[in-house]
Amino acid sequence: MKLTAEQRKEMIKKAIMCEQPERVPVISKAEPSYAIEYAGYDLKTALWDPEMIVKATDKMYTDIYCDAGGNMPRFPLIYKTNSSRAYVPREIDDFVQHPEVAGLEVDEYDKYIADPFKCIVDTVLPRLYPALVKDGMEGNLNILRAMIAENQMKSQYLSGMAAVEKKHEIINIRRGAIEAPFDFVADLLRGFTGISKDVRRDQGRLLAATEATLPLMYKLAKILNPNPGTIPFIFMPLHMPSYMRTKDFEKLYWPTFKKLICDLVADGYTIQIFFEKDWSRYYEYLQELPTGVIAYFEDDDLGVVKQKIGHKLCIMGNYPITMLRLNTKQECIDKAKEIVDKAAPGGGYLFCMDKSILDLSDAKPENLIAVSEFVHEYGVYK
Amino acid sequence: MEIKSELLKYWEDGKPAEGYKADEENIVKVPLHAVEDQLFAFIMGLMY
Repeated sequence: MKLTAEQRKEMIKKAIMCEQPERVPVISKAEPSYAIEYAGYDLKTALWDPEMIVKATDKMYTDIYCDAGGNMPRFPLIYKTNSSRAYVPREIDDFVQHPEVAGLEVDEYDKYIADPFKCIVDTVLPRLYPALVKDGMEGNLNILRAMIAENQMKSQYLSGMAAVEKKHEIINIRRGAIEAPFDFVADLLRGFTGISKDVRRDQGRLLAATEATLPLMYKLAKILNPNPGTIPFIFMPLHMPSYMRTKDFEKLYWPTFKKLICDLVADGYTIQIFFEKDWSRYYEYLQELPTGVIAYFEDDDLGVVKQKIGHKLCIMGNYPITMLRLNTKQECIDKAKEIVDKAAPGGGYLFCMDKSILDLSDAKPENLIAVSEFVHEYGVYK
Repeated sequence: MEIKSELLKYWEDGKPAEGYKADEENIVKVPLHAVEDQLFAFIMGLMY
């Protein structure tokens, strides 16, 4: 049974607000790179051509059931023009990778805390994007090139995708992405190695840096997604907590993260938070988050999660994409049934994989098609 | 939760942008702020 865009939007909204919709919504986590390979296109060629990605997604949406999707590819043109050291197209196919980098030295924390945006421009960008600060007009021209490339790629992609979504009546549920303040300091400022040392040696300044970052993330959310509402939501992947001690998480990570989420939800936003790896140590904290959060889990058992936080937060995720790669169609369907049976009762649940599906080797299309169609047919609330 | 940065030139209350009078706020403030916002978002986009 094919649903209209309006029906899909309504059932997703109900699920997000922890109500019971008519069906379990099926959310696609197949990335553009998967769509490109599924459509039989060359990855490198298509990553440079947004119209090709749109055509590939059109084919994927024709063949593989979903109620909603939404993503933004990392276009190599953008990273070639800005000469990023933080995001680098790999030689074989220009799929963009993120190597370990550190844009801020430990003795520069005070400068960051005093005026984080200025410090990013003056200190961090020259290290991560050296072409943008070349002497004379060349640096200025490179900034313009980077802005033009970004505008060209993203506007072409978004307008094409809007037409495809309209054709298939699929809801684009995501608009904008931000980070938890601690993760922002960790990812490109201090790097995994640097932040791990700071947690042990310099908690005072690290905490002050996360507090200085909080208003930047709040402001960024409001610019990227200027109209608060249930959908489209703001995406926030969480990176560091599964590598932290609980006491460090409580002191350094949780306060600014919680305030950011609570303030944005109070402003009318919905936030999809990707709880990477295992979060079982932190369920007690998650109970303090408000309704309006979509809690997207990777490794956590949704039966346990439902019990701990399902009364308050919409939950999703945890379907292992490794099964789509390695198991039979029936085994994949059985796993989907097991997860839906645990997570769906009472509503407040969106069906989705445990992580993004990046390429054809991640998931056999016949298994993905079978699972998506099974959940759509089976996930009917009676 | 406002941010203040030496680099972002917003029209602050009681402090008109250079070259403009206080009573011109309703003409120029929103477009000026939109530019600063997009500049901020572009730079922050490089950090994600």
